[in-house]
Amino acid sequence: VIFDAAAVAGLLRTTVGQPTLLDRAMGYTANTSGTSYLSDPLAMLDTFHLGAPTMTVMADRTQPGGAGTVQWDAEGVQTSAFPLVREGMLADFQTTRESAAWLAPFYQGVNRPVQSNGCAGGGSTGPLVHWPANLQLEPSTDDDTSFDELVASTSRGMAIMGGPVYTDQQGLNGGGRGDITYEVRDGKLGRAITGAEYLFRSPELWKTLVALGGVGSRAHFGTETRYDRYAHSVSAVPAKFREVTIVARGQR
Amino acid sequence: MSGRSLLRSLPKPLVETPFLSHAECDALHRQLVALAVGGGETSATITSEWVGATTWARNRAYVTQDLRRTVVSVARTIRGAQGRAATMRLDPDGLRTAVQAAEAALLFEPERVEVLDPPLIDEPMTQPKLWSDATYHLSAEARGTLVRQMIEPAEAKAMLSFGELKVTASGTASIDSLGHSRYYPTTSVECSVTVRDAAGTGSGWAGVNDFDVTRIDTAALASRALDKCLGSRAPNLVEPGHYTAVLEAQAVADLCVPLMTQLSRLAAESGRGPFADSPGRSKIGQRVIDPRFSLRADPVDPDGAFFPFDPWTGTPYRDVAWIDHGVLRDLAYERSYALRALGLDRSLLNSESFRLVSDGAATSVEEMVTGTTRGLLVTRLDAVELVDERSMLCTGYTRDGVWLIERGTISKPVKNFRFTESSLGALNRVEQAGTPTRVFRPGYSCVVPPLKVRDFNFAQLSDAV
Repeated sequence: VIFDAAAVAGLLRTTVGQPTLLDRAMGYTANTSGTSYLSDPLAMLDTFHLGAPTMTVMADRTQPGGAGTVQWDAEGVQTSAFPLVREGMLADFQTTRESAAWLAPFYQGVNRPVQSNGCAGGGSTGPLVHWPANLQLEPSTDDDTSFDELVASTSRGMAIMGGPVYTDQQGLNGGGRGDITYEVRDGKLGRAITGAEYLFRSPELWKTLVALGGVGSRAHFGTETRYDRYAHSVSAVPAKFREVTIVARGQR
Repeated sequence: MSGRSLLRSLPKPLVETPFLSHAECDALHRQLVALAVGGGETSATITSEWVGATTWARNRAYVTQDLRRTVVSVARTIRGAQGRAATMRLDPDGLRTAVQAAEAALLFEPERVEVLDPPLIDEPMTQPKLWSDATYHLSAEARGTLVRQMIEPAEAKAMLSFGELKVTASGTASIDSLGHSRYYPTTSVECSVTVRDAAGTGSGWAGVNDFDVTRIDTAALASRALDKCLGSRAPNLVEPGHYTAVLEAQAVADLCVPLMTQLSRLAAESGRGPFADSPGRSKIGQRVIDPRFSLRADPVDPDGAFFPFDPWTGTPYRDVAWIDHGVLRDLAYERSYALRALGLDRSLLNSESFRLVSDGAATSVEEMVTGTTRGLLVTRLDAVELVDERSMLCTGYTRDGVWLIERGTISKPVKNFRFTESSLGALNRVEQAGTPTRVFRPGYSCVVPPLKVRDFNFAQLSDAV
């Protein structure tokens, strides 16, 4: 199944962006927006395989024009770009000055300073919150791979174009449907399929990632978190997954 | 003049309040009128509130807030073109900037005949009881004591408690330059608690909102959330599919909320939404749900009183039966639509607060379980989204406790589901209904009964706890 950049952005937002907010992962938002499938941050950092080795996701509040971009966050911490997922492995969480200390044993173990990575937000009319960074799915190193080429290398499959992605409160199980879903036959887009939905379990989905679009196929999207509506941006490239469960609405 | 000296120049309120009085709102409005240029009308919606909130997580108070906030939204109307701007600055510069922004915005608006006439703000307004001194005096210290009492039972069982106790006292005014001035002070409390086990295999929730803290049994909420957590640990897997569902009142409310957004006569007569009939006609007069049920909204409902007027137009909310014994009776419309299409000269506005009532004897949740051969008991529904307006098909997740019912007893906790169900469809498949109770819906009042619904579609499994 090939997801276009818009559909991949939806997946990143729900399955990587929200679950790596550290207060959420530690349960601090359990009574409101929910928790995270990355529920044991200290044990999971640098050990939990969140996706295929080709998957690297950067959090970057310095990205020019990003909806979550600031020079200093709400606690005065200078923002920077840092990996959340490095070659498929959970590499870091989005932290504030307070929550970074919760990961002190990990940071000290890998000889990194225990400091916020600049994801504090709010504060003017309410308490400080974890503000989602702009997310960036690193494109394939092959600059030229486009959505069309991902389709061309597929003999039989489907192409999901945009559309909503929903997940449970932990970002674990979810699904979605394209604004348009095409059948792919012999490297070409075929007829549009109505009523098709895809289902996934986040880490398993990202582990079946087989190919990504190149930097030329990158697109940027503004988005917001579901419950609190905190704005941030997501940059994504088209992606090809094998073994995605597709159901027609109302039947398996 | 600085902000501080401005506030000193305002009339002194009878009682010192952490939010603006009616006289202070009127004084602000007079300043807006004085700043307006170019004639026309100047109206303002002023919301002024004090918020005291205590949030706790992992058995410890986490954030305590004491917030005072006033938002002035000014509308300038000239020859039926209207521009609006809002500010939180109450000093003369801030107010002037807002008035100028509203006047700049109206240049891009069309002249509309329906806003030329003043809204009928003279309609009688009800006086719901929405003020509680006990709520108003719930200080950070008092909240801390209540919160500690809510955490203790969970901590004693080695569970983790999370929650929020939030009180608000506010004054909301809607004032125009034709001499209408409406103001209503209210208090509100929101209390919700989640209890989880440290391993994350069980989660329970309970919550309610009201205007009066003395009507909320915080200890009972804490104990319900704890019991649900303990009883929901290590959930089992049961196949997704259609089950008889015993929905607790909160779950019923969660399912019905999207329906409240669809009560629009304009939408229905334009062919949109679940209440559209043949072109140009709504389903008013037709049966849309089980005839035992009525969907009502009354600002002076003793269990679920709500704010008495629309802050944007000053129009009072009326006592309305949207659905009466299963038959759609009314849909909301604005004054512009009333004048243009209905030959009426007043609006019928939807507050989105509601009461769902049923005829006949009430059945308790326990009795519903006893009478169920095989089904699921559901605490609440989360992230409910409308998929299809026409059929009211919604999707979302169960959360904080689902149990399998076998041969009249609760047999075991089960994993959460994603459901795909129509709220109208569910309200046509009700087997039993309980006593309507107040549920958790911040900013609104919502009184609904627990329901036993057959063939509820629990479409997919979810591993999230």
